[in-house]
Amino acid sequence: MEEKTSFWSRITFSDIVDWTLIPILMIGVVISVYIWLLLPIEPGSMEANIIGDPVSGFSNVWASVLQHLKLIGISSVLAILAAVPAGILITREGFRDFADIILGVANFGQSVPSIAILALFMGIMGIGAPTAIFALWLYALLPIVRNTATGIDEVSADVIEAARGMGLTNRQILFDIELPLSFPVMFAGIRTASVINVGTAALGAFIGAGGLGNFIITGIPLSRERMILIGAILTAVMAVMVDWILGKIEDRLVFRRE
Amino acid sequence: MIKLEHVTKIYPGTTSPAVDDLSFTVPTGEICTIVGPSGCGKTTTMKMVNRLIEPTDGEIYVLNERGEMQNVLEMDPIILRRNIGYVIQQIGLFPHRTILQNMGTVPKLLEWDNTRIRSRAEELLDMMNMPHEFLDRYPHELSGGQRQRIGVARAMASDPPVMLMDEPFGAIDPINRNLLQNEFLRLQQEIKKTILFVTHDIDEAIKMGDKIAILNANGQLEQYDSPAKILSEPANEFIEDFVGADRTLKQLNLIRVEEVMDKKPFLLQSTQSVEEALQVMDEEGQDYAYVVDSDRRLQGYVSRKDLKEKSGWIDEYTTTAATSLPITMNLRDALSEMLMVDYSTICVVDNRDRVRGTVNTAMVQEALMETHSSGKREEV
Amino acid sequence: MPQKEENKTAFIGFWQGLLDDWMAVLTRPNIETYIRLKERATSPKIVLNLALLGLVIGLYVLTIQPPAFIQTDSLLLDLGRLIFYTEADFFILSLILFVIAGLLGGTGGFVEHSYLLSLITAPLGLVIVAFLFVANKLGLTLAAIMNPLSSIGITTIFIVLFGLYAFLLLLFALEAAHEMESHQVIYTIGAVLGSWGILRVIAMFAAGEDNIITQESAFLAEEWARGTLQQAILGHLWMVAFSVFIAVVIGVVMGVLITMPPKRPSVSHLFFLIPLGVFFLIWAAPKGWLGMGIADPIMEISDTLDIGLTRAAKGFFGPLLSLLSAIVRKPAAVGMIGVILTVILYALLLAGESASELTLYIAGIILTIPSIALFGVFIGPFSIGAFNAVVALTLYAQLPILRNTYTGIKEVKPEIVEAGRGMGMTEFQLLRNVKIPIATPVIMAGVRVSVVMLVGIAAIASYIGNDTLGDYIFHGIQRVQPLRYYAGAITVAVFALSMDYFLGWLQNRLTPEGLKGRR
Ligand SMILES: Nc1ncnc2c1ncn2[C@@H]1O[C@H](COP(=O)(O)OP(=O)(O)O)[C@@H](O)[C@H]1O
Ligand SMILES: [Mg+2]
Repeated sequence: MEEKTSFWSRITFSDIVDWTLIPILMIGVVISVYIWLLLPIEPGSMEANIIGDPVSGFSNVWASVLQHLKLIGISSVLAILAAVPAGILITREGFRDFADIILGVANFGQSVPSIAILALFMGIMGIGAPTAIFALWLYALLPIVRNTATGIDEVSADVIEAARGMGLTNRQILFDIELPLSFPVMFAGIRTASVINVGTAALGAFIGAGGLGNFIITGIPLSRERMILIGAILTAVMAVMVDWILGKIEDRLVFRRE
Repeated sequence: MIKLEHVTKIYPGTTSPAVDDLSFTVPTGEICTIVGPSGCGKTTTMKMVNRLIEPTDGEIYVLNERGEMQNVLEMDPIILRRNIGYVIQQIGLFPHRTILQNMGTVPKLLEWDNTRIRSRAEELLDMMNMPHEFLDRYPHELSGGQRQRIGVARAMASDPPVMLMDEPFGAIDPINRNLLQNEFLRLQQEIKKTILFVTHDIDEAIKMGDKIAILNANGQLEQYDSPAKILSEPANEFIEDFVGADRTLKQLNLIRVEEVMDKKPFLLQSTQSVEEALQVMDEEGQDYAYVVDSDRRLQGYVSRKDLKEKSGWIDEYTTTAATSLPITMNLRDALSEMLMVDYSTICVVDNRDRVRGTVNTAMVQEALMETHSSGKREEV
Repeated sequence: MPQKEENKTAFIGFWQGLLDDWMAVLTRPNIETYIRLKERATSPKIVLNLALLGLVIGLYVLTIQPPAFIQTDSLLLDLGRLIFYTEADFFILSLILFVIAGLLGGTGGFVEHSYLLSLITAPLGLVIVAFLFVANKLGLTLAAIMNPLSSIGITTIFIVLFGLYAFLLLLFALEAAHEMESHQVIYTIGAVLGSWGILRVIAMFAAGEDNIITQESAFLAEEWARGTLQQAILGHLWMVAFSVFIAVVIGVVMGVLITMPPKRPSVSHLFFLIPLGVFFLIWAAPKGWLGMGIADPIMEISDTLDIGLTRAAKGFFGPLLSLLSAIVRKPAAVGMIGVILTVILYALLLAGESASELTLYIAGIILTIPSIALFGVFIGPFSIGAFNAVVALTLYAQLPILRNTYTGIKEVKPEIVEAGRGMGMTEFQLLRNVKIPIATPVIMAGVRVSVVMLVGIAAIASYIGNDTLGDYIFHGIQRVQPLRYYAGAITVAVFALSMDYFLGWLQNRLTPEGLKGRR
């Protein structure tokens, strides 16, 4: 039997580094942004109009972060809701033959650059957050569908046969065997899709969806370096953090499986 | 000649040596098999000779073309390796290169020109009994046995005097392995390389080796001797165990049919008449007789039943023989061949198919009794 | 009366059977169910199924959306008309599917075929009507509901999932009705959709009105005639090609270095480190340093480049020359990058394999940083323009290449490497003759990913002052000219897809013959 060891004694130095390095680094970056970029803004200046100033607080920065999170959050959740069933579907008997065609089309779609997708849908749906969310949603579908299907396909045929031999129904096999076993791969797809979404959401500002991209795209024509840096650095921090958090969750899930 | 003097290898991070104070000499033109339990340091020993692994202690010498013993530790490893053939169990053919390019690897490194490389490759394929079309194939287009032959051919490409072979036939099915072993032994008769041959299979070690080095689990040499000596006079209990209880049977491996066969066998000429043949067979008291032509080449056999009340020449009534034994075959293989075809007597032929003698099971048995009495007392 | 009783039970039985069939279609969708249902096909049942659907649709339309749909005085007549339309639409569609399925080898009869389709259409249609009804009661307009794009959330999910489900049922129905292979079913549906699309486009042109396709082609033709489209394409192409070229060199070198054993620093390294350092120093030196400074002659070169550039501005190499000129004009930045790169490469040379994890980790993090953010951050040191774009693009492009080079080499079987080493290949020969050729397919896959990615990022680079196809997108958005941003989106998409295709072909070409036939 496994020996009972205290939680603390099992933590190694590299665990600590692994868990703290990125967050501490990112917090450091955010604090630096606050001290060197946000605090020196002079009240009443043009920058203060767009970003806010120390006196009135930086409500716009906060709002932009929230808007950015909203864009990626809604689109990612919707993408998961649509793509996971679709991924499961194309691994079902009688549908496997279609999997290649469907994944081929999706792959093709993924090769189209995100800015082009945004522009195309702006023409159809007009400007605003819904358009951006729709484009993000569409863009996030492929990695999730693909990974769901691959994950399920990779479940070894022996395991499924054993389950069938024990009298599990198809549905039980799906929910008790295939899905739990393919979860890590599926989740990796969700992680990829979400991180790509952070970057694409920044482009959403071009079609009036708001978010942190706003600071960048307003800053560039105005040559306001401070504004550009605030947008750029915070977007990058968000991307790294989303990747890190989902990566940690992923580790957890994979770990549990073993 | 390969000479190891007090060679020791301790891997970094470990305390006990993988190879411990090893000394032995492989005479020029002989095969030395290294055998021992898994993880005993066979591969390590071998790789120290071409310095894929650096020994911790000791000296290793190899006889070069100029007839000098050269300390490998003082040579440039790259040059050293180009002059030593190297075959490994996983073969390691380059998948992206054709068979010709694979065999030409070392010659290319030695800057031979292309025509010379090609003719050498063809020569090697001939040696291996493989068709020249293989030259432009890729490794994945060959079977496992063919790939292994190419692996051996590649190692011999630049005709190095010394070869290292690490379980070269280990990944091949038993039937093909036996075939490859026999082929290789026949080849060795011609090429006379000095070979260090690693195997974990004592049967293979006995069959292939002129000398056998047996290592124990601690990487120490337990016995270094000829196969016959190892079988008849195991140095200690470890060897005895390792060699196994069927030592006597194994000794059959060491005896060639040539040594036990009837060198003046009863044969009929294909030009003899039926009456004449029947008369001779009556005189000798034989029901069957092998038939040869004027060159002593095997034509087949006749039986008294077939000839009875017939007339004419006997070659009309000759049946082709199902098998014959090469003169270099060992008794163990010969015995299994006999049991397989169920003939009481089989012809022994040389490499031009000329009958040199015959063997029967009685002769094999006799040989067995002899080795048995010379070895330790044991029930058979 | 017994007679009537019997009639009554038969009547109830009939309706119950119908309901059972509906439920079976919806809840147990698989080939066996459909084959079983096929046996019960009769023409009246088909008409009845559709009539029920038509009735519900008619009631819904007439009660919820009256003005547009009331055409006669009698509501009943209108209802009948809507039912008739429903039936007619269904049979026309069913007939088309039937004919195409038959052409592709389908064997089923029209009644069986239509019956299965009606079993799908009727209940699914009812579900849709029910959904629309609820949505309507919640205050959503029909237009808002029917447009899957306008109100996000529930509608989108509903339509996608529902569509997928309907599609699935259709596949099963066709497969069961005609006993076809799955791919024949797909071809049948594809043929119907494809011919519908083609007919639609033909109709659009036949009507002679302006439409998006004619307008867009006219716009692109105009741009082409002016030569601006070619310039944008060339600008895009060169920016991607130049960055990928540098990225391949750096990425492969770095990828190779992190597969090698660590090395000790030695004095001999100084023989190339010092000259390199001096070179970059001189290169980066501002005017007045080191006598006259190197900047002047460089600027002169750049000026001559520029003169050549104005002449060649419309030429094929024009965008490349302007890239080079932009790079030459930033000697200090080039020197700085050169020094940083030298330091990184030298560190990797020393650390070798022990740095692989860290390198790949950092590469992974950089890859998550959004491109627009990276462009933004680089505006500080490099300002806007081609230099900034090339640096960012190169940085992105080398990451997949680096990663794939590393994996590709690591995946070479150890026995192959050992065989090579055992035969006396030097480490360099091993790399050149064995490891890299075997890793080529994987490396090329990385290059392919990089190029497709860069095509998109190069479009965004337009925003920091580069003439690429992104100009059309951004100017179109700014000036609210849909034709313009459509032109940008379409050309960028086509560009990316054709690059993907071309590199797929190239990948196949560069894969050594012996590695192709395996597996
Ligand atoms: N590179 C290495 N580092 C550390 N230990 C090793 C290394 N290679 C082999 N060993 C150890 O040395 C011993 C001998 O290995 P080897 O020569 O490969 O055995 P074998 O006789 O099976 O060929 C084994 O115990 C093995 O674990
Ligand atoms: Mg070994």
